[in-house]
Amino acid sequence: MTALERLDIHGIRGIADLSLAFDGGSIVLGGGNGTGKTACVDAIEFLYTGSITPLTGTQGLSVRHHGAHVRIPAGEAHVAAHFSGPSGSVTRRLSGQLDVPVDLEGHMARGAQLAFILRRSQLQQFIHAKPADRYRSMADLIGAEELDRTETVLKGARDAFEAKLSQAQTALARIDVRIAELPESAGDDALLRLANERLEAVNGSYRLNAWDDVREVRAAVLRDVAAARQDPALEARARLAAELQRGIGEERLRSSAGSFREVTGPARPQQEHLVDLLNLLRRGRDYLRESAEQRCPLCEREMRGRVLFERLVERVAELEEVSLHDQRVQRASQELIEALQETTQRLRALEPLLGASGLHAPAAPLRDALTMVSESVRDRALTESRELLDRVRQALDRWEGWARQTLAPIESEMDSAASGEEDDTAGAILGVLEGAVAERAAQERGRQELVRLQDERERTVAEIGAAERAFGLAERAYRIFNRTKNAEIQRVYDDLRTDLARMYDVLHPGEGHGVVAIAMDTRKRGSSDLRMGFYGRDDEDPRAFASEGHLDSLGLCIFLAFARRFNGDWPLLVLDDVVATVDAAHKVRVARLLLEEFGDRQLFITTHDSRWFRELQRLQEETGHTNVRNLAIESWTLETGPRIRELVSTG
Amino acid sequence: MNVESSVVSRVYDTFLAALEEEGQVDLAEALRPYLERHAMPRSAEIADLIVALSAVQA
Repeated sequence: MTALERLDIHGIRGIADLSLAFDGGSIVLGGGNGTGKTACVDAIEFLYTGSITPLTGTQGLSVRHHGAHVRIPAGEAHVAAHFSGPSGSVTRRLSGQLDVPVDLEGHMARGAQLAFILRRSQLQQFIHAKPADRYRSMADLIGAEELDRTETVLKGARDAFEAKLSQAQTALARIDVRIAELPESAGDDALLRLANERLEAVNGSYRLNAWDDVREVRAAVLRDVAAARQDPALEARARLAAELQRGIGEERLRSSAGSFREVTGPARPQQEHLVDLLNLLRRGRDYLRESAEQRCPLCEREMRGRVLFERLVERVAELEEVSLHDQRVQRASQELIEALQETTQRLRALEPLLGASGLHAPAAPLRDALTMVSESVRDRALTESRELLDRVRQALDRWEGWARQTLAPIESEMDSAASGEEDDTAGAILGVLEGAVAERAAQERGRQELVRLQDERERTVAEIGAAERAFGLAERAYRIFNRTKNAEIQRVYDDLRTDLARMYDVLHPGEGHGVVAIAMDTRKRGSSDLRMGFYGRDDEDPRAFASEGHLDSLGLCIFLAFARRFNGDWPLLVLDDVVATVDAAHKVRVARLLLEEFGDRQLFITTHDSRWFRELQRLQEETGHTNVRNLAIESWTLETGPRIRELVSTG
Repeated sequence: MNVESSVVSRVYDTFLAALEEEGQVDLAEALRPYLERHAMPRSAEIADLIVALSAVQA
């Protein structure tokens, strides 16, 4: 074990030059006030930590400016310590320089961390500390800072999930409110009934059998208005407007043209070739069916028409069976032909109205294109049909553009005519229709909003589920860690309490104090309580009943219990004038406690109390502690510092 | 005796064992490397870990 052999102090505080020979043992240093006892303690603290407590933490005071002797340049001030086991010397200078041999680095590092110096001013620090500060000073010794950091990380994760959960729950509540605020959907049928009731109330002539009828009823109203005004041109335009609103089957035509293009597209040349062959054979078959020809129409050689016809029928049947593609082509062709017919018929129905209204529509190019495509598709000329469909598309585009341009002014003219009616019946009907359409649109928007909100709700419920699971896991981890950490720290506290209570009992036997305890405050994070019983009043703050002297000795016991628990085999224990407020009888007990409990360490005890100094000397002899030097400071001057005389035991 | 490291290590060992006892073996295994290195990451990283574990448990 490393032992301090000698301490050389030069130019530190009130010491010009002083050498303290520990010789691996203890020193008791007695002397009056202002004779340099505390300067020796300052020098030991400076050696290990580079700081001096009385010069730290007070504005205007610093080791750099006030650490050196007033007559000695700061650059020369230093403390040197000489050790054994391992042997070596450490020198720390006020300039900041520290010389430590490798073998003593570990010893010096421990000395910088451990609490082994107790000054009179620090006696009640732990007692008067706030619970959080008390915990902090304990935590530094136990290593609870790392535990606290880990706990904070786990708590941070838990808090994050709690916040996320709360956020998602708030969002869900908001969604539910928005869903509840949505107007109840009456349904399309109910709205239609309501519209008819309103139409009935205005004029019983009009009725909506379905929502698709709105345009027709509107057109009928406008037509009737025009008729009532006996304006044939206006009436014709009203009828034309109704027809244009109905359209000429453009949608179906475009759709079937698209399907036709797809199934007859160039992506399947082989199938197309097969279809061409099949069509050729069909034409030959049809020709032979209706003809009594006995010569081939191509080469004019004689042929057996019946045999050839039957062979063609078989071949066509085979090809039709294997040609699914042909079936699709046929279906698409048939659908296209029907769509072309519908558009052609609608266009034809419009012609008289166009004539009567005096409007020039691009109907002829469309009609021609429709006719040509129809013939081409019927002839199964697929490639040609596709090309012609381009012409149809162009003509249809022109027609639709013309219809849009034509319809807008006619409708405007009709609306004006309707609103000009004296009884405003037509205007009222149009209003009912517009209102109904608007209500239905609003209802549709509401329905879409409901679907959107329900989707959002579903996502949020899933989020809540995930957050609940994660929060549960994080909460459990945090709780278990918190519980484990507190239990372990409490174990350390319990060990401390045992020593503390025993030492206090030694100093104050039969004085009415109850259990002395240090405990974790489980209600607060990072908080420690110091409690003591007093004549039957358990669990009280020691300050409530204890005298100043009792509080000082409690502070001393706490320090000693800490030193025993946390300092391990650390050799030094420094006590600077710590029994000043304790009476003579208790001082004897303190001296006995120190020698009996800590006699195996190197003690450095200072006191201004000559009786206690003698008592300590007497007890050394009584307890057999011979490796103690008792030094008395006889005088002190600025130039020389303390002058010391060793008191040798008389035996 | 190094009081500091013995208390911290004992807390970690007890904590991991308690997690396992409560059936949170995966979480204990996920946290073990951090605690053994005495290098707990940030809360966000632990939160990601917990999200992944709770998703698996679900």
